[in-house]
Order: sequence, then structure tokens, then C-alpha cells
Amino acid sequence: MQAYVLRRVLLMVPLLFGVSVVVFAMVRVLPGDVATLMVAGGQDSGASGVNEETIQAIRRSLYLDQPLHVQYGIWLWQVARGDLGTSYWTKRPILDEIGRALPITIELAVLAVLISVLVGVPLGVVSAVRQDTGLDYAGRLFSIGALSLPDFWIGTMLVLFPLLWFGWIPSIKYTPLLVDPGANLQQMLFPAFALGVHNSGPIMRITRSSMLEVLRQDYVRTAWAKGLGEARIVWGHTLKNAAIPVLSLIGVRLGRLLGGTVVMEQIFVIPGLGLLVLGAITERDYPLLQGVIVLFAAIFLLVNLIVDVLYAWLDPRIRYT
Amino acid sequence: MEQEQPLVAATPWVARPQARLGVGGIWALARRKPLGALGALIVLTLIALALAAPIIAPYDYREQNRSELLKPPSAAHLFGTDNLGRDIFSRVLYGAQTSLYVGLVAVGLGTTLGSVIGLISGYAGGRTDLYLQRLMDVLMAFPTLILAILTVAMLGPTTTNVLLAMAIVFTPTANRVVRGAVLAEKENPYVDAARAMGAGGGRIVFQHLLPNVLAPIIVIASTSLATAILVESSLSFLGLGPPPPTPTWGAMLSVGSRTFFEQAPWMAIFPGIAISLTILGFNLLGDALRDLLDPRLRGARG
Repeated sequence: MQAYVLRRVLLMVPLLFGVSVVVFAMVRVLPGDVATLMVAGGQDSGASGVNEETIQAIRRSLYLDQPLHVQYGIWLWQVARGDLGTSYWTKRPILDEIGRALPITIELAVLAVLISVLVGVPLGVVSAVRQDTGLDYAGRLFSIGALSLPDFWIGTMLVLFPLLWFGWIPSIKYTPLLVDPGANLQQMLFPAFALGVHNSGPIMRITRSSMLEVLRQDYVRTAWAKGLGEARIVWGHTLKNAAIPVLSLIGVRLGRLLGGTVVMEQIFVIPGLGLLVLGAITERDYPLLQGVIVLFAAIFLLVNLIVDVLYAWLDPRIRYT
Repeated sequence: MEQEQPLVAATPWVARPQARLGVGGIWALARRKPLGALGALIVLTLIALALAAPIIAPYDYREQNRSELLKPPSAAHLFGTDNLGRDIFSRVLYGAQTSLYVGLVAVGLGTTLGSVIGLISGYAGGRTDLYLQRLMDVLMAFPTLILAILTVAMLGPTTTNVLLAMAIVFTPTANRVVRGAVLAEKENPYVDAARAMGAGGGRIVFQHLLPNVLAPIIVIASTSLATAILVESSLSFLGLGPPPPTPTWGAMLSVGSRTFFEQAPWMAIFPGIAISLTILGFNLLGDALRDLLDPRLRGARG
């Protein structure tokens, strides 16, 4: 078991390297010279000598005049020392910006996953146990419908219909969870709900197909024969075994979910990593963009790692691949 | 027909489709998979509408009518007008063109590239396989939308760049599926037979293996199409999609849901319905195709 975990963790390292290289390369391809943007601040620089010098000075200080691989090496060295650099845009250390935004996005993502499981799994179970009945079709309809409604549309509608009907919108000002759970959840539950419902579709389907498989197993038949009640069998025995592929799916869907958080944060004005990315793009803030995107990839990889390890722990047959 | 079973239980990865295609065959297919037929109907209708947009759209999508700002749906304007007096119905129709064009081309490009990589990588094995797959792994490490956002942001928001960004997103998925299929198919006797007859690698891959992995490719392409519409509209929603004046549903939704929702909810509702219906159609179609062509994929990628 330890060997498996160790192997997976070690595999993550070169992947993250690869990700950072790709991001770095892409970011430097960006049209629009940062130094010029910083100096000009929107004005046309003209042919003024002073502006040219300042621009060159800035480029030198940001190492933008060095060849790409040198720039990458410098960045990597800084990261190894724990310094992700300073944001061009907000002039604050990037580590701080990320540190501030990360818990918020994580909270949103966790809430969304919770909701998607809380909605999807029971629906899937019911659909499997009552296969081919009206309930089943309703459930499958729901899952396809949820999957087809874009998450940002659900989110938008969630903001807009209360506005239309009650003249009320969730607050735009963010309050941390520990400071005031009520206010925090009031803001976060809407986007989490939108994301959660959208992602509950595939979860429901996997639960359903997984349950259907497990329900056919011999030990379930034995339980029936022993006289155990339906509730006990379904919820107590089969669900635990059927849950394993659901776990794997959560890891897979997380990629979509993280992308969804970016859009949700824009709609609901939540100051998380998503808004940070969008802002960095607008402001051509290379280091910030690099830092945040590599972080997104790292989160994705880490969660998939955890999911795979959990999967291996729950199902020893997987471990030996 | 009996096939000699190899030691490892590598049953043919692809279930041969049982339906024959002829007019009668299509009807039988439709009856077997009514939902899939519905999906196909939706998709075909959409394609027809998009192609016919220049003919059936009552107004040009750029045409602004200052005296008809934010008007509700009426006989003259089926879906109402927006804040610049443009007819929303026409814009939705032309938006279909954009979304379908971007979606189809992006998925076509991405799936083709991914399939080629999967074919080569799966058949060649060894170091080629290792390097190619590491590259694909790196691409897969990015959450989907984030990779698209990064690519479009870097290249600039033009339609072509959006296409490229989305193609990159779909390449690893196709690669994974095709490579898996190739790895299984590779063990079949017909591959050995071809090799014995003197067929080189390229011939084997493209003349023999490719037709047999076509089924999962079709499935993956159709499910990717649903994702493509979602990604394209998300990008447009964020302002990173095809730039104005090209009408896109995502951008219409974005504008319509910001400042104008109270006065003109139809600005947001109709594009939203359009997006949802399109995704629904592709999802239903993709599901049915998957059930018909390879039930083993069921539940693997929601």
C-alpha cells in the first residue's frame, strides 16, 4: 500500500514540472509587453526617450530580456525558496494573494462536491432500486437535464429569479466562514448549489449503474434470503460497495468543477482563485497567472491522487496495477 | 464466428454494431433508442437552423433599431430585442452558427489529433508511447475550462484561437480512449496476419486498426460535442469567446443577465434555452451512440 502511494506521489512531481513549463511557455507567448503596459498605463508612449529607458529598466528588472529558459530557471529557483514573486498588478506578494484566495475557492468546491453527492447518490440509489419504473425514468431525466444545463446558466438563474420575484440578491461582499457562517453561506450556497446540481447528473448515473451491478451480486441475494429488510440491504450493504466508482468519478469531474468555480466566482463576485485568474489575464500579470494556474493543476492532481489512493484502500484489487 | 482466445482475456474491445444502415435500419435504430433519436432530431434541427440562418432570420444580427430597445417578445420580434435594439431571435439563430461551427471544428480537430496520437502511441509502444503519454498527462493535469481559458487568453480572443484552445482540450480525452482500444485490438490475430503479409506499421495502424477503433472514436466525439458547446459558451460568457460582432450565446447570456435582467429577462432566457437544448441534444445522441457501439464505456465518463 505504501509503495503504491509513494509511487503515485512521485509521479506527481514531474507532472507538475511539465505543467509549470507549459504554463510558463504559454504565458510568455502573450502578446502585449508587460513593461510597456506598466509604464504607459494606457497612454500612447510616443517616441519619448524617457519612456523607452523606463521600459527597458523594467524589462531588465523583471528579467524579461533574458532567454526563456533562463527566465524559467530564475522563476523555479524563486519558487523553491518559497517566493512566488510579486504580482505586477496588485504589487503584493503572490503567495499572499493565493493564500487569501485559495481557501475561498476550496470552500466553494467542497460545498459543490457535497451538494452533488447529496443530490446525486440518493437519486441514483432510488433509480437503481426501482429500475424501469416511473421513478427511474424521472431520475434519469433529471440527470440528463442537470448535465445539460450549463452551470453558469443555473447560477445566473439562481441570482436572477429571486431578483425578479423578491427583489433580493445574495450579498456581493464576502465574509469568511469563521467570521460569520450565516453571511458566508448565504453567498456561497447559490454558486455551490448551481455547480452541485449540474455535476450531480453524472454522479447519479454512475451511482445507478454501480448499484445495479452490486444488486445482482450473490451476497445481496443471500441477504434477501436471510430476511433482511430492503432498507438495510440497500443502504447498509450495497451502497458501500457501489460507492467506489462514484469516488473515482468525483476525481474526474473535479476538473470540470474547478473550471466551473471560475465562472461562478465571476457571477457571484467571490474573491477566490477564479477571479484572480481572470484579473491576472486582463492585467497581463505573468507571475500571478503562472502561480494560480499551476496551483489549479496541483489541486486537481492532488485530489485525483487522494481519490485513487482511497480507491485502492477500499478495493484491494486495484492496488496491484 | 469463433476466434482463438488469447491468454489474456482480451475480448474484442469493440462490440460490432448490429444495426444495418438503410432507411429501414434507421427507423429500427430510432425505435430501439427513442431518446437517442430525440437527440439526433434536436441536433439535426439545430444544424438546419444554423445553416438556414441567413434565410430565415428576419433581421440581420447586427441591425440595431434604436426605437425598439428592450422590447418583449412580439410578432415582429419573436424573442424580443436587446439593449441595442437587435432582434434576439436572429441573434440566437446566428449564434447557432457560431456555436456549432466552433464545436464541430474543435471536436473534429481535437478528436483527430488525439486519435492519431493514441493510435501511434498505442501501436508503437516503448519510448514513443512513454513520451507521448507523459505529454498527454501534462495536458490532462489542467482542469478543462482552465486550460481553455489560459490558451485563449494567451493567444488572444479570436474565433480561430478559441477553436485551437478547445481542440487542445479534447485531444487528451480522445487519445486516452483510442490508445486503450488500440492496446486491446493490437493483440488480435489479424494484426499478426497483416504483419506476416509484410504490412508495415503505418499500414497496419491506419488500414487495419483504425476501422476497428472507429466506434469508440465516434462515441468520444459525440460526447465531446456536448462538452464543446458548454466550454464555448462558458468562454463566451467570460468574454473570452469569439469577439463581437460575432453573436455567441454565451456572450448574449452574459450581457443579458447583468444589467438588463430586470427590464428584459428574455435577453438571458432564450440564449440559455438554446445552449441547454443543444447540449441536451448532443448528450442524448452521445449516450445512444455509446449504448449502441460500446456499452463498456457506459458510466466511465459522465
